Amino acid sequence: MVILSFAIFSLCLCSTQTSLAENQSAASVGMAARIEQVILPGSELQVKEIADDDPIILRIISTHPHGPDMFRYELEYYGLKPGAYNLVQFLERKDHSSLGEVPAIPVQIDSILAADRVEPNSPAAVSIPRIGGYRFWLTLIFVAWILGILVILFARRKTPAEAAENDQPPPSLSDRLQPMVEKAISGKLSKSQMAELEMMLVAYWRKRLHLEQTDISQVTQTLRQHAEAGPLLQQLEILLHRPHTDQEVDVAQIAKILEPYQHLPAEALDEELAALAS
Amino acid sequence: MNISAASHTENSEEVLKNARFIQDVRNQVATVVVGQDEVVERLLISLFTGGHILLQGVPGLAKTLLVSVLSKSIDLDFSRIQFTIDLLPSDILGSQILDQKTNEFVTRTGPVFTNLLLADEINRAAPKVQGALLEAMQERKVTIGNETMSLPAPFLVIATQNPVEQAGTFELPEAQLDRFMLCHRLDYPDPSEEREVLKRNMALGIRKEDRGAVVNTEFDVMKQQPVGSAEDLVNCMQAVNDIHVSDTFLEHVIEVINRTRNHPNIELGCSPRGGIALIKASRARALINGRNYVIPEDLFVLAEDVILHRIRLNYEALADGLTGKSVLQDMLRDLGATPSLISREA
Repeated sequence: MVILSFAIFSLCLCSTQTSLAENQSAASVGMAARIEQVILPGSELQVKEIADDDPIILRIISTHPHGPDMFRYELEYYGLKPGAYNLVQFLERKDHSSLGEVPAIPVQIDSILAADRVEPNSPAAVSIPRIGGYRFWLTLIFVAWILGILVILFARRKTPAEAAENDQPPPSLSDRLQPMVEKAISGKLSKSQMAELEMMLVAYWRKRLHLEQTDISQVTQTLRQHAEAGPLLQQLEILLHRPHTDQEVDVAQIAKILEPYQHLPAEALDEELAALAS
Repeated sequence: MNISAASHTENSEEVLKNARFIQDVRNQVATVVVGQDEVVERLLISLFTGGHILLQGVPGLAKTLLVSVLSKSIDLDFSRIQFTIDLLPSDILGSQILDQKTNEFVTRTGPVFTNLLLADEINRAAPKVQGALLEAMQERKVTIGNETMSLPAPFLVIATQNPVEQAGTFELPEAQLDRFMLCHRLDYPDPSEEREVLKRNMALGIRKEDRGAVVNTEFDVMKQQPVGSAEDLVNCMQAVNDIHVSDTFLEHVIEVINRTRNHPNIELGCSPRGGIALIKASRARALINGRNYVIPEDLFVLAEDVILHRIRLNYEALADGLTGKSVLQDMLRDLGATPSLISREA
């Protein structure tokens, strides 16, 4: 009985070897191929860890027990280099025992490219000829990005501070008003400067009467009704805007109108406003 | 020289006649429309200068009624077009139709051939239609088929826009807004005016018609008798041209226009057309207020209506939550308070 079993086993093994040898699988480089119903003796097999220079990439799709101490496999492979290979070389026992007597699984990898065609890049890993690798460069870019943000933030904070230090504030209304009045009285103002003086006086009274937040269209109407500002602005309007006054502004009249503003201290308005604010 | 500020008007017969005509028109409007003195003034400014006006305001502020009573007061033709998305240029300008009796094409003019045209909710129409109207406004001529026809004189477009409901509208681009001399923003009436509106409405009553009755509207009780003629209008237009503009006032206008172009919050400043409009409108306001010369007050009062639709804020200003009105107000408040951009140091 034992002899009979051994004979049957040997016959199966021989037939498997014969069929594998006869039906040698073939594929072209890079194309996957499958081998089904591969019966191999011994404990269960698994694919070895892939090395960089392996010419074959092998995968076990399914494993099934096949009688005592045998397994039936479905394999898939593809070749990276042309040549004849034995797939058993890429297998190992799952229990890490020695492979022992295992029939060969021969495969043929053919190249369909002509011999004079450019070789594809080597799949083998090579050292990159530069400083550092992916992580190094990613870290460097991240640091540069952070520094960039800091520079922008710093510059934005610095700009107003520098502006405050370096830029002279524009002269205040009270600083500019008295010299303009002096020039107007002495008849040294151009027409555009007379226009500016008129607006300065409106701005002066707007400040004095705290109308800075009032709608601008209502300001002149309010000023017109004021005991001091009203006559001043009306007389200026008559002098500067009425017909037949364009040729020459009456300096004597201007001097008379602006006399109260001639000796106005430069800080008078600012001090008054500061006092009112406190 | 003794300066008197009591009277600045020339007491000529012509001036008095113009003043009377203006007052009569205002009184006639006041019989139907409560308050809205500002809008009436702006409409008269537009009428006397031949400049078109855009009224921005929510519905129900008596815009149509106002234009209607104004046209009847001066005996002018009046048309109203309700702009909608499916409106076509031919609906406004007119078209050529085949007369089956003579077998020839006959030109049928559109509602644009009138003196006062109310373009209601102009931003609801497609840009092609807006373009057709704005071209007619600019050229004062319309071409229908092969025929070019002049629009009647005076020709004034009073367009309206609802600033709130913007869904499904086509906003007028800056170049087209610039064609409107004034853009006035209507406000709600104050409580006392509101009270008067309600009282007048309650007093309108009903009238019998056919076998039933109809509730009277303000349009029904409006006086049909004009208080002035086209000749009076021509006289006022002539008078506006005679209003004196001093060199000092010109300097103020140039200063304001320049400041819009150099303001840190303004991306698009005023065009020269803006300056021209400011002068024209100021002259008309001077006439309405019985002066024969313009004063800075005219500039301050009209600046918002003339400038605001001609400027565009930059991204930074919008991001800071600023509005065109607030920026313009600040800019006008800076006049005199900060050094002039154009004044040369003596």
